[in-house]
Amino acid sequence: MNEEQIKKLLLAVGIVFIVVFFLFPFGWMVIVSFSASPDFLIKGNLSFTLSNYKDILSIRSLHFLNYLKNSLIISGIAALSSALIGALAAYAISRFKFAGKMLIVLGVLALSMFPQISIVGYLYKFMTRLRLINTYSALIFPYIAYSLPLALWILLSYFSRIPLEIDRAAQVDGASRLQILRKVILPIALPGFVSAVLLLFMFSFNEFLFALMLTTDFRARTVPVGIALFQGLHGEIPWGYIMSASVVSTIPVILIALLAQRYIIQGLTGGAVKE
Amino acid sequence: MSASTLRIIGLSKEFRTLRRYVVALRDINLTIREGEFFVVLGPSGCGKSTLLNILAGLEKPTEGEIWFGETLVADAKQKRSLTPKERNVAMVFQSYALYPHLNVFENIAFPLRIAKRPKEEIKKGVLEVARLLAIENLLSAKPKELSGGQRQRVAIARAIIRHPSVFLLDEPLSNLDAQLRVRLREELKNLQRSLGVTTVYVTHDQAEAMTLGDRIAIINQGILQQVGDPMGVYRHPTNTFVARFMGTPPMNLLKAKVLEQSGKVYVKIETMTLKLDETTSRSLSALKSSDVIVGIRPEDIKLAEQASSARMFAASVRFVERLGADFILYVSIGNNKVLIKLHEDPGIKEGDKITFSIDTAKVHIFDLNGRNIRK
Amino acid sequence: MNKDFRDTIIFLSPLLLFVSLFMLFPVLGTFWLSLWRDVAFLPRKFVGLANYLRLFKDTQFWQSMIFTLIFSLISVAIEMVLGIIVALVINERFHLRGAIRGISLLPWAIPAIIGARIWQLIYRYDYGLANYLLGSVSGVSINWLGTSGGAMFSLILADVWRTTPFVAIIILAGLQSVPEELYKQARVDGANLFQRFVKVTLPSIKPVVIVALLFRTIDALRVFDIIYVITGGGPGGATTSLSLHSYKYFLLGDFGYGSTISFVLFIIAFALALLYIRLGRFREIAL
Ligand SMILES: Nc1ncnc2c1ncn2[C@@H]1O[C@H](COP(=O)(O)OP(=O)(O)O)[C@@H](O)[C@H]1O
Ligand SMILES: [Mg+2]
Repeated sequence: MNEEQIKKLLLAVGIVFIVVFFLFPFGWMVIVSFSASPDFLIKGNLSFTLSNYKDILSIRSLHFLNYLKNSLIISGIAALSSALIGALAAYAISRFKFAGKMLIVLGVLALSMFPQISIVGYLYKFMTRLRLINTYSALIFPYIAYSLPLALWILLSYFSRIPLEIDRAAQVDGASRLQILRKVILPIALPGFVSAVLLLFMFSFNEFLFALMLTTDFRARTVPVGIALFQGLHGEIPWGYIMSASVVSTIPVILIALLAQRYIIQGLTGGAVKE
Repeated sequence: MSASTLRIIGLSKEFRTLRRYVVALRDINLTIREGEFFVVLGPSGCGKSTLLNILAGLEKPTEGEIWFGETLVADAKQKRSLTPKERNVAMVFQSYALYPHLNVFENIAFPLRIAKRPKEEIKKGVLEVARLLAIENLLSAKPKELSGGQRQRVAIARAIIRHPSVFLLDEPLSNLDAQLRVRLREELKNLQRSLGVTTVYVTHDQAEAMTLGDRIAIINQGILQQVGDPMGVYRHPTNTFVARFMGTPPMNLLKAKVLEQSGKVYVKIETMTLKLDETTSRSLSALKSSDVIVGIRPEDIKLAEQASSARMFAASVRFVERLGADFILYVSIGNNKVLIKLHEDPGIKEGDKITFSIDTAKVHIFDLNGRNIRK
Repeated sequence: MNKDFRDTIIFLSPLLLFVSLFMLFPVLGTFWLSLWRDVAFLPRKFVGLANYLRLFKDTQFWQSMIFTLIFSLISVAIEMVLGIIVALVINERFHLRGAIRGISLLPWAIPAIIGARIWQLIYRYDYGLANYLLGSVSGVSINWLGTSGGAMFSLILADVWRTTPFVAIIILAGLQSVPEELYKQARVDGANLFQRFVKVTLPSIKPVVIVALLFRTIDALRVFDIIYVITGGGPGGATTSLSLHSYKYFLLGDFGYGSTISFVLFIIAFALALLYIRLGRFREIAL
């Protein structure tokens, strides 16, 4: 066997490994979501049903649709807001000269590594005092703050690649800084902005600990908390509901991941991975 | 004083960053007349762009004042600086700086859109300048689909659409190939003439400066060296820097000693003695037996048949550069290398001995600090 | 200058406001809380460092500390190795590479809670997939979540599944920055596939690997979601991470002591974050 063939073989093994290892839990999730009872492996009573889906989408008291709506709204607002706030800051950092710039960039980077648990305790007290517990605001504000380091980082790497002469040209053309950001820099860095919004959406959509502490019921509870706390009527874990709810709620993220794979990878790596 | 006469008074600019401290411009004084095509010439890094950016209002001076006519547009003392918009300047950049996400029409329209002009006016204006620059057929193209020359035309169109009172160009042709550069040079000159707008044009290319400029200013390391009309600067460089910077190949600069014999003044370069003409002699007589630098342009040296008279010199050729129209001989005179520029093929090979004469009326004499003595 | 200065402040203030109000301030608040006896239904009382002294007698705290460190160490080590392998695969050119790259993102892209729920089901003693597969091969069943070793293993596997994609993407960026000429040169020099990997690839991606390693370590130290779902910290507190230990005190209404535990975790993460920033050369990128 020559080197080319060995390489091909290793590659094939690698691809199979990726597909099997990364995908089989998803397959399992789908199978259980469509089966009447989750213990079919030992009972051998595998049967196809749509009732799990019907139930979670129609039984009001399960609140799954509430969770989904909450999650979509909260993550959507948080993602857009932090991308916009991040864009303002990234513009200032990549364009203006000022003292302490390094401190801000590195400080924000360090913030992104704070454990949620060392924030959430005080946040709970803070939100209680503001009477915001179990509202969208209780999650949207911390989510914006918590995703800002990521937003800043992604946008900074895109903005700093746009030559300063473009800004100068726009300044000479009479544009204000805000106009330059809106009409020139953001449109040019649109792929970066899209990457940022997608990643930030996923970031907030997937968050658990804040949502667990700062919400109490379906009025603000998000999908991860809903799925973590799903209780059956008789104590037994309602696997069928959990898995069908999981399938429904992962569809948006899976679509994003598969269709916008390039944007996500570019966003995560600051555009270092080209195609 | 007219509205678009530019006066630069005592202008200095320093950059301070974490790592370094640069004086980009040092005490510049200049007046640029209304409607003039003014060229700022200097090697890369000498501060040309900085000067243009300060004129545009993109940078603030560390010291000095800028006047546009009767208006003080920048004053370091009062920490006052009008924005580019308030100055009504337009600028063209070396990289063109077109907006990559907008098509040509929108690129040109951008300044008017920012100024919130009515739609019809924008359309009319864009079509008008597009026609002027012969880019009407490109209006729907994106910048990346254009050639360098087309991009530059779009950048110029975007600059003139607002009818600026001052037009600033920062090496607009240096990213283009040689042929296009020559053609656009001419177009630019004609355009400027027909618009009659005060223009400051920055370049590091002396040929460009010579052909374009009504007047040129030469800057080196942030210091203004000389201002004047192109031929004047070429003929009477104030110092060795300007002397070498203007003209290709550059002027030969040779160490020499001033001698006086029976009332006549000579300069001695190695073994070669040059007799100088009357005017030069007069200005040199005070410098008897001191060291000077003699400047001789390569084209002011002529080949001669034989070392017949005292005005003829001999040397050996080390290298011949055949440029097609011109021929450059690299010749050694003692320790000095001298270039000779000829318009006809001399039929000379490396190693050949030649004899030549020097047009002494065109010889420049500089003191050891590089200042022209005859001036 | 004044105009740019004004713009700088306007552009930066939303970021600074949000980050200060909802991150910096709460962390300081957590430290402040850790100096108090702040338990539901009891009067608040300033106790200085008493909560920190209490840590020494808290055996569960030390168990959590050890668990968190071991869990982080092992899972990050495995993720790095697998991450490099996956990155090498998705860096090659082949048909449907885009799809494979998309698939490699999935475990990381979905909510951790959902991944955890799936693994929880797979690990079930009675009708879980793991025991079914194991049983059909060898006839034995393992109590995956019932023993401390089994629970640790199960959590590590779930975590590796979830975060290997992230590591792979970061390393993919490193792989793409290796100049093609280096490989050509190595080929000309007669290096085989394996030698090229060891002599060219590994040294070139070392900086990226270190950055990914530190980032993932910091991330692993704060592990919460998957443990909350899969083991709930059991059996007998064996898999209670520091985050979960702290959370349990918050749940009891003991904010003083809960904050103390989480502040210790913060200090550890912060120290590593400083190291990360030093090694990550972010300074050069940012300027
Ligand atoms: N924003 C800046 N910060 C620091 N130094 C600068 C800046 N802009 C220009 N300089 C320095 O000022 C000098 C002049 O630069 P520039 O005006 O761009 O030269 P030119 O256009 O003649 O090539 C150079 O040494 C350059 O490095
Ligand atoms: Mg320049």
